[in-house]
Amino acid sequence: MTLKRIAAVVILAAMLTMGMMSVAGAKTYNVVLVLKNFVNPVWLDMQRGGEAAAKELGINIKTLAPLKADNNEEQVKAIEDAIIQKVDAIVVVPSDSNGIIPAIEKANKAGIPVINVNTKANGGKCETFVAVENYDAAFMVAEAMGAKLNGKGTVIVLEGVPGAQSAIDLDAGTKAALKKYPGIEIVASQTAKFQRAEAMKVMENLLQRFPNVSAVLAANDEMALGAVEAIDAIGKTGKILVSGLDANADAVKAIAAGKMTISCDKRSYQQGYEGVKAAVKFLNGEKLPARVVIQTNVVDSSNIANYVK
Amino acid sequence: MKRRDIERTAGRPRFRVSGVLIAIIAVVGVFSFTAKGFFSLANFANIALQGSVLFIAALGMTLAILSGMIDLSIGGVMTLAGVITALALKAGLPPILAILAGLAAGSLCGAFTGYLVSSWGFHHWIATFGMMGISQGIALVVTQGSSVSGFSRAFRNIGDSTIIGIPVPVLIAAATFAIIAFVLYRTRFGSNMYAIGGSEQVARYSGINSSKMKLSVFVLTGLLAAVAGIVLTSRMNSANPTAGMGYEFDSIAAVIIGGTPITGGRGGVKGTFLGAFIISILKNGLNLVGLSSPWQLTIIGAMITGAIIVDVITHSKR
Amino acid sequence: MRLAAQILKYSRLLIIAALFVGLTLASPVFLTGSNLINVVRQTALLAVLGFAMTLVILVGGIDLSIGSVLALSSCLAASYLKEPSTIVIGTIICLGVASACGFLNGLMVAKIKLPPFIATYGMSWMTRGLALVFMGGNIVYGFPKTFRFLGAGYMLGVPTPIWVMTIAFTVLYVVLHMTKIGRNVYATGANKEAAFLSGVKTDRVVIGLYTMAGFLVGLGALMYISRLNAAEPGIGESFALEAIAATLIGGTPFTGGEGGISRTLTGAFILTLLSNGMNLLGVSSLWQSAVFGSVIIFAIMLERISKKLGND
Repeated sequence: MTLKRIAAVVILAAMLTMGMMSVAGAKTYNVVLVLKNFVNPVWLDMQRGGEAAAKELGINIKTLAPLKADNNEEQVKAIEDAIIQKVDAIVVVPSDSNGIIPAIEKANKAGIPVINVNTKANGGKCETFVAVENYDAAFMVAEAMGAKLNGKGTVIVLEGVPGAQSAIDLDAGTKAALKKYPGIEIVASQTAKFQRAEAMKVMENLLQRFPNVSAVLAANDEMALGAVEAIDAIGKTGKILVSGLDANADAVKAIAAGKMTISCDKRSYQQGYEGVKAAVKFLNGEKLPARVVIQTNVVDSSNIANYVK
Repeated sequence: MKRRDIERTAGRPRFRVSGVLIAIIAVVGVFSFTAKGFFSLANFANIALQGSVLFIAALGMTLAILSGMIDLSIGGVMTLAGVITALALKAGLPPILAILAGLAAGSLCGAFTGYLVSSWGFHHWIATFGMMGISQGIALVVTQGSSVSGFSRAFRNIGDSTIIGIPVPVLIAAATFAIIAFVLYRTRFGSNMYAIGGSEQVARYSGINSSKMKLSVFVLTGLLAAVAGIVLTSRMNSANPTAGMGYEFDSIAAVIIGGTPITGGRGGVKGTFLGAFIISILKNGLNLVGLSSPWQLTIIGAMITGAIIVDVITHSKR
Repeated sequence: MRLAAQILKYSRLLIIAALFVGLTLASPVFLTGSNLINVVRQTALLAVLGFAMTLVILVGGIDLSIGSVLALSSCLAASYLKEPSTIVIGTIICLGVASACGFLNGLMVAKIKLPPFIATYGMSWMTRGLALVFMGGNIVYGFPKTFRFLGAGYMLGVPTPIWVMTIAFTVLYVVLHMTKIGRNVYATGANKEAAFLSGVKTDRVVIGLYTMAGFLVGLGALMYISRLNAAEPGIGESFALEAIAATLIGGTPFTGGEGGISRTLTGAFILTLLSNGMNLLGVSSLWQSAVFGSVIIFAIMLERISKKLGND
């Protein structure tokens, strides 16, 4: 036992010295990018954008996301771990706009700048917020859908993760635009948590009650694609219009094939890119605007050719 | 039987250090070389803070496993207790009452599971599996799927303040540990737990009311899950309706890695301490290294399952 | 007392009848052709997964990994299923991977003697992780018509999933009730030691059943992704809960040795009617997990009561 103890002490001492040595070294910025999950392709695009910016600007970047998709506690832990490592900046896409606040406050206390991307954090101090105007994007899509329906009919709205600021903004934008069309009635508005399989299930169920609905407005493309399959199953493809947002690869294919009607390019790659770039700008002493707005474009059959790869 | 074994079966668990401790040293060693900032006092405090919720939940799981049962509902009950506390706070209740409401919710869930097991003869797996669905479901329904957040400073202090430099969640975990260890090792109730875990029949012959014991064990696991859920809620300043998901698996892992065999009757909460912290060290270290999360999931899942397999093999060879 | 026992014996049919009458009165949409076809179609997938669960429950086991194994096998096979020329290879991969996972479950339970809950729970986390690693955040979308036929097509006016389910049911029914293998399964489930002493290779039976369950999960995976028209690593999280609920409400007791797949078919039908009814009445889908959890507990209580009455 004594031998073991001695061995343990020796090992610990060796590790301590090595640990201290590894702190020293050349100074390039270290940035941590915290995403919502690695399940939805949107975040993969964002990661690619962030890494491209890092490469271009010559900094180190590390991307983390919760093991359990959208788990708030794991996002908080990832930020706590980044603070321990004394990274130079943290770029975060919160999955829970309120639950992330304690982590941002900790970073503030440690003097590490935080850049907020995509989904708004409702507290703590962030140097800037890089995002599309979700409200405007959803508004544009719903407006276009209203026009396609000639201002009348019944619609179903599929909402995002309840409580996430992005979902709240998207929903508000959609509903504000639909208010412009008094002939359009929202017969159901339910969450499908931004997930495709969940949306298919929810839509299968809603279509039992409302088989003659005119359109489905989903708050992202994943849900829109789930709705497309549920509609296909009752043979109403093309009769029930479907809109989503993100213009992800699958949605582009679906629009090109006439299964989906409208989407909106939210340029996730660009969001990741600008987020990391903003972090470096801030570290270099430049002043950041309170808001970096990423421009969005409505995608439909008229301009789909530009998106098909 | 060796003397050690006799002691263990007699309900006086020995601290099985060797395996786990060596593993911890190895893990710490690897991360110290590979992860910047890992080997520092600040990070060890950080790991303690991050591991405290799991440790509290795993203490409850230890009691269940010691008594020869498993509680799969821990994650769901954690969530539900957190959500109930949050809603009570939002309704304007003072923190003390809100916390009591959360604790009551957890204990009630445990009591219901225990009632199913002891009075209806439900198998503990299936009773707790059903409860997992029910508690998770109620949490979703009462919150309409959204997280409940934004609490008073008084409540947030539980999760993010320190006393003499030590984070409060760590102190709560330590206090809970002390109480549970006392109950387990110094009271009749504790040794009865070992007895029914060792052999329910023998325990019954020796005059222990095993169905009453089971009921109390489940109430305790429910209560501890509630404590964990409330600490988590305060730490996150938000009660998310899926916050506890997966905690049942991590707690089982912590208990087994800590040397309490899945068959019950032996082991104890001291090992669970090591088990819970090796899991937290792993997660923290992999984050510091910056390994992408799908790989983290697979590595941690494989290591935990591996540990469980080794445990079962070594114990079945006796 | 006898009357009560009789009522309980046919309780499932009574439940179905009550649901039918109640829903017809409550919703004008319920008793329409398209809705009923929809109910039967949804029953098909749940029934196939329920059969898988029933097989292992028959020998006192359980399989919590079915949702994750479904995700892994579909993710690994998806890129092959996307090309019309490699659909066969994709199908083999999907069924093979799922069967292999089932086989591993069986080994862990029969040979290493892990408690089935633990073995399959660990399996579920590993397979979910592997599915995520393999897909690396991507999703495979858009299967060819030939493959989509399986989940979304029709044959002789009946949705294909119903044919698949019927075939699976028939094969399993014959094996379980008309062959020696079936007798060995029930013998092992009723009393493993006794079966072993009378010459049944109980380990093989258990491993075989877990493998078969894996195969059925693979079949379910094909049906599901063909229906969803996409494969992603996050699918199927609630399937284990649903399959267990279908088995238990159908009347196969958790203790093993009795019951069978025809009961599970009834159980799957009851559950689908229940969720269809909730949808038609506009009950939020957030209720689902609470309802399924309660159904499991209710089913076992029903079992206990009928046993007690039967003994009196």
